[in-house]
Amino acid sequence: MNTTTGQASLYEINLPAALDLRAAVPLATALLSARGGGMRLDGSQVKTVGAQCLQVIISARHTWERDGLSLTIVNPTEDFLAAFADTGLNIDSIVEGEAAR
Amino acid sequence: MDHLEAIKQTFFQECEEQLAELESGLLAIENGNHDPEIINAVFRAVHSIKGGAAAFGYDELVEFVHVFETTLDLLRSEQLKPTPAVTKVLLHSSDVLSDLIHSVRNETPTDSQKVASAKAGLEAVCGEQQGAAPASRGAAAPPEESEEIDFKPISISLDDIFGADEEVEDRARRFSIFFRPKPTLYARANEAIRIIREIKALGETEISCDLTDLPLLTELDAEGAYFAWTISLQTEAEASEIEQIFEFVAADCDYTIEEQRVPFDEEPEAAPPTQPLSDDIAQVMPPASDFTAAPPPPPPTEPPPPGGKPPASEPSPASAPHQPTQETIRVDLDKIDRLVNLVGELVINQAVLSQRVSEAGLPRGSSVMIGLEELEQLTRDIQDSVMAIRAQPVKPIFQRMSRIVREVAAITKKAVRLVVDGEGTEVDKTVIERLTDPLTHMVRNAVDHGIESPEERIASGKPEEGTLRLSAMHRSGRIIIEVTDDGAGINRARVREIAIRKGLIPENAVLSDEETDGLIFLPGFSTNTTASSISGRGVGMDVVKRAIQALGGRISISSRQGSGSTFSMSLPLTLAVLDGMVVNVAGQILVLPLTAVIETLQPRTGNIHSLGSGVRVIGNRSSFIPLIDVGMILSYRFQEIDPTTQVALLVESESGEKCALLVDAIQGQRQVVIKSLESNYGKVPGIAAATILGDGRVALIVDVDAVLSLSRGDYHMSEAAMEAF
Repeated sequence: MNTTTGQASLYEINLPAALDLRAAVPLATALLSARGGGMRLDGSQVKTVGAQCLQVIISARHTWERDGLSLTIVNPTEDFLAAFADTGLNIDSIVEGEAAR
Repeated sequence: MDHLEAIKQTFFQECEEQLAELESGLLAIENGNHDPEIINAVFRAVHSIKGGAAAFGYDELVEFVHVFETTLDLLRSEQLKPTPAVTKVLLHSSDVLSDLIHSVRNETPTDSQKVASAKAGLEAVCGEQQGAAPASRGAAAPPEESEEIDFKPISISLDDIFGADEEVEDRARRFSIFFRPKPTLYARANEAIRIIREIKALGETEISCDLTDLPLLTELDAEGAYFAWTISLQTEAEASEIEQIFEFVAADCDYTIEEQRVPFDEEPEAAPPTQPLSDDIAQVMPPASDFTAAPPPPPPTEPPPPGGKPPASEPSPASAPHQPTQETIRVDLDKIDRLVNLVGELVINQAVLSQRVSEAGLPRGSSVMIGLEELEQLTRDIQDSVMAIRAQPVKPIFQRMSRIVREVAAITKKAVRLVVDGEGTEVDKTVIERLTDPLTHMVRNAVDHGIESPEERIASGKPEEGTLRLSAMHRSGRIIIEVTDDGAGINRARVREIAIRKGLIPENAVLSDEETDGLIFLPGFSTNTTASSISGRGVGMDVVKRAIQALGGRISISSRQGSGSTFSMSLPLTLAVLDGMVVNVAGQILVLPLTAVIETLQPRTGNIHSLGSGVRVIGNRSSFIPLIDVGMILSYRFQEIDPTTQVALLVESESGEKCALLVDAIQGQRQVVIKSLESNYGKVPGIAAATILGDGRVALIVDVDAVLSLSRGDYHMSEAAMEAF
């Protein structure tokens, strides 16, 4: 998981290939440490997705919204989109660009 | 160990259990037991491994297990017959699976060729089946892999199709499934999404995720479980098929499966009443449409209660209560060991207290003495309970031997059947662990050397298939493990010839059959002229004997030419505590294992006889038993004293041999904590271990069999042999 700081108020996290149970805690930690700015999650590498990581992402989305900031997913892979679909979560509003369609 | 590593370890521990279950089931199937429950258990074992492996991303493992699971699914649905050829493939695959898990666990490279070969074997079995009878949905392969099945056109009567309309409609079912994982579901390396996908594979679904419990990130436990799902499933599957999906996670989630008999063409009813959002959450949450499925699923008849698994509307196989299972917890062995040590200290302290009270001269009926007796009983109960925690059946190690038999039989091209008795016999975990290597060597030897080739067996009028029997039993507070083969027996002439050639015994040595058999335990002895891939690994029977002795055990051989051999090991049940008889010998205090002592005798002048060359016997109930002065044997004194002033303890060795041990006096019986003499000091002939007495002194624990051997001079022969080697 790679956290980079772009502009002062925009952070980007490159999500790892395996968003499984091993990734949930590091993902939550990485997100919390970047709180205070807009957040983009790059999902282009994601192959495996577990429910706990989805919990973290959705919870982060709520948190960022409460902070009046944006949290979006960019370049989600098919696997990533499938995980959202399989769990009944609508990814449309969180994904940037055409992938959500 | 971090949390993830702990989860992994739990997964691998569970894999071990599943592998044991798998092998046990396959062996039962091999032996003709085709009980569906056994086949189901075998399938479940593999399925569980697959689930955990997938959660950790062990792709190679998952890939193999998947093929294995597919084959077992055919077996389960009775589309594949458990013929000997099929069970052979399955057993081999079980071995390969075990290797794969071992490789993954230890991060060592896997034997790709072996895995590929096993996979090909499984696929061949499936292929044969598919050629014989096309499989129905969900049986030939797990549903999610249905696209992998080759499509083979079959002729279908149109009448069947049209006539089936009504039937299809009858089979149409809609289920409302509620599923709320608990954190333990994830902690056990299971994955909620996998479960949902398995449900999706059964038919058309509408899935609604309930986010009510999901907190903000600052309050979120990333390893917690906050999502819950309501799934509307339209399917032809039975409720029991859905239930099976939850079978492995039943204890780690709340779920209900409710059937709603609705025709296919009927519109779903109103949206499910998922739990209302609290005001607090609702304020911070985006519009519900952001994270919930657009098409709302039909409702369950009643909203599921928030806490536990809600009751089903009517009794059905799907909603039947689960069989109560025995609750267990996993505990680090270190913690148990600490407990065992503490109990050992408790036993010693209790002995100290007893001795002090005894020295104070308090009367037996005094309240202090009564309290002390109660404490003694309590101490013993605690000790038994603690030891019971460490006690495990020998089944896992016996199961491991079945693999050794298969492998060695395959290499040597022999037909060998393993028969196991008493696999439920329990013994201390440490004993079991340290028994693995010597037992493996003996089993390997029995197949490699003991059992003849099929041609030789047929020529000697025996069945082509040899039998190896592995048995365990409790006897006199010890565990006896026997490895018996029906092979050719020990070729004593050859053993003697080798021993002479290697200088282990002089050419003119006069040895009994038992002594000749015992030569194979000498270091450097090997009947193999060339090292094979099975034997000749630098491990001989001397190492086996030493390993058994290090466990406080003994090994003996019984062999009959042409009929086979039995290697018998006698081992203590635990390595921690021993019931002993405390005796005085030449001013020393010694402890004799109580299990060896049959009775005490008072030698009298009339019933002691000399047989010449210093050998004395004592008459006891019309028989004469060798009389051995323990003080002389252990070199505490060098002159015999009058036996009539001493006490004789009639003891029995593990081989059933009886003798009378002369000691100066008996102090009494006592429980003693065994401390290894070998690791704290060194090996002492005739002594098994040491203990600490109530007054803090160290007392040696006598090895009865070794004392007998010393009295016969066996030890000296052995020492001489070692020198010669």
